[in-house]
Amino acid sequence: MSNTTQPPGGSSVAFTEHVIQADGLRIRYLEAGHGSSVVVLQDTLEVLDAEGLHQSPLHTLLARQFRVIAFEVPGGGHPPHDVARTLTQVSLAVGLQQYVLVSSAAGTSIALWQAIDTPQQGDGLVGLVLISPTVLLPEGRSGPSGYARDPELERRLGDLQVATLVLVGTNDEILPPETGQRYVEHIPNCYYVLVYDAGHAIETDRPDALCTAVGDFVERRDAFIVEQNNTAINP
Amino acid sequence: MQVSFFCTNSYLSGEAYRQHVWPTPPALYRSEVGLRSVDFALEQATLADELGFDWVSCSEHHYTPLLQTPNANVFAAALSQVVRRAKIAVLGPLVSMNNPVRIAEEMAMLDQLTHGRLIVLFLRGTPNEFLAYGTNPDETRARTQEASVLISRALTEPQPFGWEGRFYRFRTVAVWPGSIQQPHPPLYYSGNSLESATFAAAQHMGLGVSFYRPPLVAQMTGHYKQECAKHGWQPSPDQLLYRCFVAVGEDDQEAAALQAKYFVGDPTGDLFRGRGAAVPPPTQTQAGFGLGEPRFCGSPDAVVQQITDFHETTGVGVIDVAFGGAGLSPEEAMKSMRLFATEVLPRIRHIGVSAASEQPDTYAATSA
Repeated sequence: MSNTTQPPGGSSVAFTEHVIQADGLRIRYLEAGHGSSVVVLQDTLEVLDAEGLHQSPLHTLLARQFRVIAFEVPGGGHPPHDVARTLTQVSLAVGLQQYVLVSSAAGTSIALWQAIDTPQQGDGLVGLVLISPTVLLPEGRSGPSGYARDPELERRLGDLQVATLVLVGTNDEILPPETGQRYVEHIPNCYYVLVYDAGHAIETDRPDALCTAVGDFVERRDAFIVEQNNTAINP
Repeated sequence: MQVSFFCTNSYLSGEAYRQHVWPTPPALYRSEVGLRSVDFALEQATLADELGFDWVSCSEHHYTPLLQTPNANVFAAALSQVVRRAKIAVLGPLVSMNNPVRIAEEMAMLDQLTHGRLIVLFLRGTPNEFLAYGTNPDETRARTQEASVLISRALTEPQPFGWEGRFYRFRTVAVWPGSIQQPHPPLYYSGNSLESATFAAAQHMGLGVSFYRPPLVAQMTGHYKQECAKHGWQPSPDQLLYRCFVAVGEDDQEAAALQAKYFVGDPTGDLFRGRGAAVPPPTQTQAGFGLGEPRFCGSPDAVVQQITDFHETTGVGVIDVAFGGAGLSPEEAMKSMRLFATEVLPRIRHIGVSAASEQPDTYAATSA
């Protein structure tokens, strides 16, 4: 089944809605764009509204450069690790050879489990982006409402092999910016970027900045730290 | 009241000051005068340390003989080798037009060189100076704010990090050496506008006001204190800083004679003549900037009273004072400085002390 949804703001990017079955779950997703593949997980409440799935500014901006598939994260209280396995199956089922997984806030645990379960070499998930992630907090800080530590997941972070980008807003009042340091300390190949003048909702506060950082990472992964823009004035 | 000696490193020849335009043509520079000037500046700084000044300061300014410190951090490094007791205050780097990560690295080096005696104020720069490195004047307020936040972060982040800003992008920042003072040296923000005072309060930085007349200083400090309260903290007097020129004579008559010849031409107006005229001066300049006026001037008794009144009006707890306008000889500037140190300084020490002593660890408490 599929139908087309029009993006907000008169954008030229049009997403198509699809449904796929896996592990007895009916999972909807949006798809648009061409090029390198990006899978986006977002908070269920952000992706779903009364009309069903809708696309976020990040979806739209990324779909101008990449093939974007935005999965609806299944609700119903399933354990994050189980959901991660299901979404990995679904990603293969929709024909993704290599993709970068992008997750914000509540999807962090699922995304991390997907990445941890990914073999060191080969196709599938080749990069991970965590936007305002919620799994680790600075020492001595309490988490947001509903936050619960996952010691097993924290213990396994050292097994994560794919390049990981963590983005935190400098004005985040829910998670202090120092959160990013902890991911660098726990994940072997982790890059931590502060997004200036953004709060917890980086996508809302600084969508272009977020898309630039994520887009560079999707294209070049570890090499995204190397400047490639031509700075010659009169080449 | 704490007192900082503002070491201007001025060029010691009247010829360079008679152009009355900005920038001053480099053709007027004479190497022998330049060497004499920097030797005198370091001699003054050494004396200030011996006379009991609390800080010795310098500032970044460009293309002018009045302040030959286009890189204040380089000059501060030299000061760190002759000033052994007083704090070294860089007031400050022009963060609107430099690489913020480079500034953070230089600050870390200076904190190491001074064994933890560094103080820094983030400065936007005067409008004419935005021509020096081709900075868009309309962007400088936002650039200054972002750079200040980035520098603070760069000095405190324990892991390599990236920065995706509005004006700055760095994908790998990992400043080394680290700060001696934790979490970082005391920080101030230039507060010559209400907007800047608001930002300083939000960032838990001290406030530095320069040259304004007392009522305007009081307006800035009053607004700043209100904004600090909104953010749940109260600045101590030593977080309120004021820069000005001073002339002290044996008596009021001698001081008046110094005042009459203190400056050559119009120090403020000259910045906005020549190429400097291409950038409009800030509105505050027209409304009593006060750069061309010795703020405290008179006999020691008169200056003590003026500073006492100034503190009562503004709440300022640190004054950063220069003794030599371009119209004074080195000998006149030194005499004024010695008079201030021996006849004024001991009599203003008590000002604001009781309030400050209630918050002895202000920097550590507010700069995190």
